[in-house]
Amino acid sequence: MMICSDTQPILEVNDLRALLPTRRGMVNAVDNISLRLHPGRTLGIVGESGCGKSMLARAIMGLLPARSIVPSESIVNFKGHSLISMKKARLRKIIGREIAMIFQDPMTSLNPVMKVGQQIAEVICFHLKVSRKNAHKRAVELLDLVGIPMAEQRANQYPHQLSGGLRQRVAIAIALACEPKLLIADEPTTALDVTVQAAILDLLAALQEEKQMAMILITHDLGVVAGRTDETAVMYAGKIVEQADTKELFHQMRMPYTHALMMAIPRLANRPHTKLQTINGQPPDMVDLPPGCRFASRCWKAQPLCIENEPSLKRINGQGHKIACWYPLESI
Amino acid sequence: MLVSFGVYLKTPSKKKEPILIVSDLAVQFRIGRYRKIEAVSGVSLDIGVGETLGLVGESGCGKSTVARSIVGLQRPTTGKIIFSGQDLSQCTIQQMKEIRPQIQMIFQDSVASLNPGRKIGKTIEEPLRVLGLADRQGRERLAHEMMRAVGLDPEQMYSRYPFEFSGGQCQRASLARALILNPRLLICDEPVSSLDVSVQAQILNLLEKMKRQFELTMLFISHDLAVVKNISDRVAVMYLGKICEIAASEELYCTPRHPYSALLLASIPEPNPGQRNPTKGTVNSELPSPANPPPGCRFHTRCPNTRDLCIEVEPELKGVPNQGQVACHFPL
Repeated sequence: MMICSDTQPILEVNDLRALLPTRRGMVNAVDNISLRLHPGRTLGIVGESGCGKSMLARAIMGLLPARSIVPSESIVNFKGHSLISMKKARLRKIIGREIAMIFQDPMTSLNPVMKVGQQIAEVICFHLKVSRKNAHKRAVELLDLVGIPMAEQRANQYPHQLSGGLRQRVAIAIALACEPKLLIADEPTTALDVTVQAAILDLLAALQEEKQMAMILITHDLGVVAGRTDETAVMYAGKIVEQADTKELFHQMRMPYTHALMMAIPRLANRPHTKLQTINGQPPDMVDLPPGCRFASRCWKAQPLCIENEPSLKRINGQGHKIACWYPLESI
Repeated sequence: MLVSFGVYLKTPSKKKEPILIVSDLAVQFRIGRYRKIEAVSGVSLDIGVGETLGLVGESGCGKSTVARSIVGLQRPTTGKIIFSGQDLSQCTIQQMKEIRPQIQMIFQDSVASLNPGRKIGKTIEEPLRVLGLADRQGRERLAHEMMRAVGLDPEQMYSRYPFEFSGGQCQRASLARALILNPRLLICDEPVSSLDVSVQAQILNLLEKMKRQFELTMLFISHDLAVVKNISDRVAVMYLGKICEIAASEELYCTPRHPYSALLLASIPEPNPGQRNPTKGTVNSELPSPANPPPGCRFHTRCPNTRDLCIEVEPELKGVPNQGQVACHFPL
């Protein structure tokens, strides 16, 4: 799946920031994030809850909550067009057709009082301007494509009649209805069982290869990104703290946070009653961020420099491994 | 009385005398007027003193119903639950009053399991108040002690409300509430499922520490096999209301005998990009409806090596040489 880097990136995000209103003031939920994604590649975004990974996805799509502010220096270019300055009417034509999104909870992202076939057909009618009958036919094909048995009958059912796994497959069918170039999957399998999770992730990978989609896979599970992405970015308190080729990242984690997160995962290889390594303390208060590195208060390698100055995301080797850390872990 | 336990003691074991024996437990729920659903059908298990038994399975397989039956939140339709020699269904109210404090439970959604309008400290000491075990000062002193044991600062936290706490802290508080009565058996129903990895590791370590400190026996329910392996001595795998395999946790993970255990293990996303193993074998990842379980072996619809016998005859849970028990005609 190697794509040479001289092709145009399909998505280019530069210095993206998003300020969200909260009762206690504005929160910088997405802070100076830059990303590039090439066609056919998968980028994983990992982080704990509240680190801003979903808000990053929403900021890219322009789906932020009301009264959020995206400063004008932020750049989100999709195929060379800026999504941020784009008119709403034009954005509507791109979202759903060229960029699609899958959400965590398929029960809330589907319309409970509309048959699932109709929900898929709606997207096709809107974007591709085909007749209802053809759209319905296409919807059934899509249900079949995402591995739903008896697609014809299922298309006439309502979301509550389907299991969680099937619902998520419907959500994927809707996302794929217009063969998007970019798919943003925001925790697509978090609400599902492991066996179903494996099936859904396999399905996404197969469809991606077939359609040459670019994909952003957002998850809190390092295990999910390990097997399914080309590149991984780790987020902490609104910032990317480490980003690298997935193999490279798992081979050598240089940022203490990434390493700590990895060590906290209970592994199958562990013997029973193994003591897990934990990360002390809590993530910083997003309303009142510390001046230095945001992980400094929990980091075992923190020095006075870390508390005073914030490290920027810098490239550390030729393979494009980037970290934001003053005192990175030794390379192996 | 021990004669009737003979069946359970026959299994080759190094474990001590069981503190809890569940035999042939079945729980039915009515759905609608005529239909019944058997959430748990014929589950037998035992837990030795000081042992941690893990219970895993996909959502809807009845693992929480087993837990709820043991603590008495759910009346079993048939079957016996014997706690330290006493059959809970035969106990008088007076006897139950003595047994109940010895079996405590913590729940998945720790925020929802704490009264939002009551101070944390008061919530923690409530079991003492209900049972009239100590006066006000005594209760407060014990609550302080307990909070310190689970890692909550009593000076600061005692008079706070649950909304001021993070998910991990709420789980610590509910653990404190469960342990204040000095129980012998602690039932943990998905205690870490809604927590982030780093917090999950803290809570798992805390549970291990508390287990040693209070000499607890634990029933640990989770859908995450890696978590279960890390905490349990033995693991029972449930599928559609039945137990399909019980084995020592190391053995189960190295050599699963039931195809369902093997499927669950293969589905776990391991944080290791080198081993990208697409799940193979099962075409159908959907769980059949428990209202209408398949005939014969309940797993045969998803099993990669189904034969005619599996569709016709339901396998029983049998002992396997040098290993636990497995309910399969053709164990791996």
